[in-house]
Amino acid sequence: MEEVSLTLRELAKLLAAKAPTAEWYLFGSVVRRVPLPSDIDVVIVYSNISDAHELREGLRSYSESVPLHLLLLRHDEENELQFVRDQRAIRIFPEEVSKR
Amino acid sequence: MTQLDRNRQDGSAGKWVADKIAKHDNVASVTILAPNKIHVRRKKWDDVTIAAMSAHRVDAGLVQSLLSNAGDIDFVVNIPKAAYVLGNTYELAAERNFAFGGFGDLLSALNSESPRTYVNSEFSFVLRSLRQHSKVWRVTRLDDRRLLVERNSLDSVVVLVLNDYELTADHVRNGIERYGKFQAIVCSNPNSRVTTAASLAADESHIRIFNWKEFLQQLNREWTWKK
Repeated sequence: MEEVSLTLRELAKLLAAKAPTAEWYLFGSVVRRVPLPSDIDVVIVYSNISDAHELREGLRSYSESVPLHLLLLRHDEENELQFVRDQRAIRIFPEEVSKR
Repeated sequence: MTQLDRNRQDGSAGKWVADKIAKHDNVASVTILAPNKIHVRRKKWDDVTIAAMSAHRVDAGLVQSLLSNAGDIDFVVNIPKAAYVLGNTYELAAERNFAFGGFGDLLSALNSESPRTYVNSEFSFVLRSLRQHSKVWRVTRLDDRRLLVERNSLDSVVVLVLNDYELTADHVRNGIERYGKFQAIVCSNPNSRVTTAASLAADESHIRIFNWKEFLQQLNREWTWKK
């Protein structure tokens, strides 16, 4: 999971200029540490239609090398579904700053 | 760069697949025979030969080029999960007696006695269920997600079948962009949730969204929208 998170975080940083409000999360079998996951489940919560397009295009090359399951949820859809909470998704970008 | 090269960036696909399936419960050993060809010795049942590829758009010609000189292949695996797969790919697979699918399909097929005859369980249910419908006389798979349903004494319909747990506005917009013409989105997953934004996006495009039960009922009626 750590290797996948690192790769996705790097991609998220690269794509942050194009979709600045996007929040990236990992969920599913990789997070549950299933020994042989059939795919890598990523949910990105975004703001605008153009963000969704940029994010999908930006992940195109990565999705050639791994079976990436990409779910794009607009902020209002995430509020409606509470997907991140229900799936116990782990945020990978922006990184959460721990409070002391 | 040839058309084939542009469509199939799969130089390392074979190694990636081999490394992963070596961890499969039913796999005893994996041998890479060529960059895209893998031989698998299974703990239970016969050996399997796999051809691996990575393409965002797949058609019969592309798969045929992968298989030329590859010998006898049981399963062709394509890594990108969101690949657009033309219907003629499935026809070729049936004709040449091999299975075609994604990495998840391959993992399931390795657990079956005959990986060659493996069919994705979701589409197997969808096709079987439609072919048993009294108003349906033929179902054709146009691509990985669209079906042409020809009906007795009613107009044919084209539907986009999605299996996601969450049906979002992006699914609707991306579905239209990728697949072009269809009259309805059908959720084959009984637990699917449709967001408000998805319903609005579908309304704007005059596309209806049905769950599986609603779809089977609608097949008995004339479809008067988005002709």
